[in-house]
Amino acid sequence: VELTAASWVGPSHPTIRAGYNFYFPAVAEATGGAVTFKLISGGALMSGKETLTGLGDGIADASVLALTYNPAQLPASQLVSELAMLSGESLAVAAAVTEFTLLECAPCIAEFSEQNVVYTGSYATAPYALISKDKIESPADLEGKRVRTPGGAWDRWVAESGGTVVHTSSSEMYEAIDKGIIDVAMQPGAALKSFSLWDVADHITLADLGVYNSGPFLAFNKDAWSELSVENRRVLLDQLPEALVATTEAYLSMNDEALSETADHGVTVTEKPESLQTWVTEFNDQDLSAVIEKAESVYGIDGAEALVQAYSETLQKWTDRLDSGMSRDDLVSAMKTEIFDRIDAAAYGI
Amino acid sequence: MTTFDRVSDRLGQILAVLAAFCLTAMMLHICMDVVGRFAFSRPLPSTIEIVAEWWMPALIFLPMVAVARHHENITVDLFYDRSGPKMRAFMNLMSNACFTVFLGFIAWGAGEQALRAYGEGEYIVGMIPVVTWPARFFLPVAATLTGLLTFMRALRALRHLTAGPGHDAGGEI
Amino acid sequence: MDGITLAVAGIGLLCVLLAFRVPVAAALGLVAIGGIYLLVGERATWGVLRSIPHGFAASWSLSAIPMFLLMGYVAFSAGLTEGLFRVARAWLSFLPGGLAISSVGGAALFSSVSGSSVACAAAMGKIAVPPMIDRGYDKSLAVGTIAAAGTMGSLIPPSTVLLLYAVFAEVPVSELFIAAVIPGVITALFYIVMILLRVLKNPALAPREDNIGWDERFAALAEVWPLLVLVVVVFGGIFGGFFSATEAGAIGALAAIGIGVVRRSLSLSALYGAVMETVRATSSIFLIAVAAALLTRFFAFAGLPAYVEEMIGGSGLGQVEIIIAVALLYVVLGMFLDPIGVMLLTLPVLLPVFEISGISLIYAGVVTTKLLEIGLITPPVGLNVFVIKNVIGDLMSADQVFRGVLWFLVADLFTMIILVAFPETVLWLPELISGGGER
Ligand code: NA
Ligand code: NA
Repeated sequence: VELTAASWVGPSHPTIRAGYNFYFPAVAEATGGAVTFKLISGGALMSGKETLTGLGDGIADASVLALTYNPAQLPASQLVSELAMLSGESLAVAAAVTEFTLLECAPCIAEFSEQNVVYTGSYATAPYALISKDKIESPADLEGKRVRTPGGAWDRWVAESGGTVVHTSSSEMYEAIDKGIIDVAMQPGAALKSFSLWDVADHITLADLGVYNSGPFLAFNKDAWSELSVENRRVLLDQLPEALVATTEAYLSMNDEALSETADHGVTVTEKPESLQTWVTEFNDQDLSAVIEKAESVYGIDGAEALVQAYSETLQKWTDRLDSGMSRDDLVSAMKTEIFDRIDAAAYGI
Repeated sequence: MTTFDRVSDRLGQILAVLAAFCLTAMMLHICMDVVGRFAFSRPLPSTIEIVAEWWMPALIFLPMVAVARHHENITVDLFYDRSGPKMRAFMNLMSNACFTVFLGFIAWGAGEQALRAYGEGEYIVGMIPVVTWPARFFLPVAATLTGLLTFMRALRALRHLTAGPGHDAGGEI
Repeated sequence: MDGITLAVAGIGLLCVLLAFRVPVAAALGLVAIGGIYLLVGERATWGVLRSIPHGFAASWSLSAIPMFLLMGYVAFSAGLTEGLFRVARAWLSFLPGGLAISSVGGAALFSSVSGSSVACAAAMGKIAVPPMIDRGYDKSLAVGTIAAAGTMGSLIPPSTVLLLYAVFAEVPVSELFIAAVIPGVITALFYIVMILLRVLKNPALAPREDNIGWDERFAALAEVWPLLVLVVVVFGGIFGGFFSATEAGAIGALAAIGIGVVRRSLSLSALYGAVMETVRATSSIFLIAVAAALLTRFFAFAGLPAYVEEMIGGSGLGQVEIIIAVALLYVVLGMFLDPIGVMLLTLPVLLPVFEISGISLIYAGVVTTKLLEIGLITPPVGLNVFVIKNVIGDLMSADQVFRGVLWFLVADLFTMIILVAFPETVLWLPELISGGGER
């Protein structure tokens, strides 16, 4: 079978360049050509906002998702986006979100199923940073500043820091900084290069501001998924750990590349200023209760506290293992044996 | 004028007035947001989301009946203008039948989606949560009513076409 | 059947449906629905029908269209258009063919308030044709001037056509708007030069006007300066990055209402009429755009963009050749279809062509729009010509109007040569605004 995969981002995006360009051929080879993919990228089929329902309706057989577009349909699953500031270790986050959603969050899987969609794992971006014209090294430097955020936890953090939250599309950031419409853009350092922000910004502050963790890498339409043979579904699952890690690594290497060129573009790097680090930790401690309350009152999730607890523990587990020197290949095989092998290809998503 | 014409006229007018109200509200809403942003550094919450999810679908879809009533759907008139009465009646049948089928598909698909959104209590979260499911009903309702109108026109065109020679079938239906 | 064959068959069926006077929206939509069904199946067809129409309309970036349409209709209903013509006349009528040249100037000014060419032609037709006829102007010159001058409505910002292009091509509206300013001015200049040359050669075409005194010139200016200030503020706001296009449109519309009320030239019923016309115009444009969005999905499934890319890549055509090919395509399509229809129909195929041949999407958008505007005055279907014809009634036949327009098509040919030979005429201003950085 040829599956139609859709994505609203362009072909140079890490999910496609490092993710699909590895995953699709790998699946085709492992299934002996029984399962192939046709990718329609750049939003030709569905915009980001339309993708969840469109995927459920079978406009495409598989697609990348962004949970932040659909809180009403995926309240429990998008809980992790509210916890995005907990960790800036991209690989640990990717593994933790994947394990949490697949194995520890029954309501998450039920939500996806309700949308006629099958979840199969998440990537994570590089750590977010503060890109600005003025130097930011303490919480006081954020006071009164207009900050462009990606939403969720970051909105609360900026508000708590005394700044004003601005939501603009990422393509407008360059002009917004240039014209002083925003003072600070929260983005991974890679944005200095990919959006040319280093032409208009003079400073970047690196701190533990978290990563974007709400991107299911390749979710499937449930009918298309169940029409595949059990063996083929097994292959699709088996190839995922490598793809998730490769995508996340692509984000990291883009980030490193941009940061290594900052000096040539007159951008000063401020690394983990202490008062800012302390403030992030403080914020995270007090924010957990806000997240749980919002989850229960706005999103109507039962047992939000237990879910938050479970995610935090899983995140801690993967963080500890990577900190103690787990290699990339060990990470891939650990994700395979501990997460994907525990999924029953005959039953999951049917 | 038949009862059907009168009713569809009135209904189209009411929906268009509703749309006009939404257009005016949208203009004022956006202006207030700008004033709030520049004068008080405090924009109205979720303006972009409300404009996109409420005002836009309302002002785009609700006038559909009135647009069809006024014959303001854009067509290529080149060949129609150069055709005889019989051919014109056939073209009237053809165009209204096709329009009806198209509107039928749109109404059915959008209707299913609207019911689903209603079931989920669909909303979005910007600065504040905004309920979005009711706005999903503008399109299926307007498309259904417009489809009824074009269906009646197609029937009329069919009657003209089959009425035989000497019957005036050249006018707009 | 493979995707490409099906897409080509779909385009053929589309032409047949259009010829039978099936509304453009229904023709586009039915071909899309049928094509997706045959190519991908029932599941995807219903999926597209459920998600796309509402999702396309529920858009912040497209919300600028109703706002700019409202601004134009209100400005017309409040009589602000007449003032613009009076100003142009007071300052330009000393020239040979002064009234015709004033009409071009007035249309250019009105274009900076109105987003639609057809609205511009209709408004100027009502205001400027009668005085020209009264003064003994050659009828075909008078009517041709207005039909052609109206085409500036979509080129000089704001512009519905440019806005739709910006959304489909994902380019910043502000850059596209400012890129169209110089081409708009060049268009006006060539029209004026053409009128001057014709009248100098044959003074009988346009009797001379009496000279207008300076006091009268400033009196005319005093009447419309609020509107001109408004235009400067609104566009300064967009280009300076203070407002989005939608915000500029909303402020412009509200201010136009305010000016009309203060001048006591906008009655409540006139305002009601303007608002109702705006929603109907918006609705009919968007129904086509929604159907075009469905057709885009069909073409994407069929792999048409990739196929065209391959063809262009293999053909070795340069940028100028591609622009000329596009121009020919548009001249042909523009003979039968209205501009928004043509644009929405062709963009799904042309955008990848522009991208692969390295043509700036901003440049392509402006040139495309200029070509679409030319289509408004080419026979046999020139929307502006029919609009003027409605306004002037039985004065002349459509064929006579088209004859009057021919000279302006010559002027447009020169404009196109300039735009193709010197792309800087389009790209210089946006680069200046965006700080000159290569992005
Ligand atoms: Na304009
Ligand atoms: Na034409």
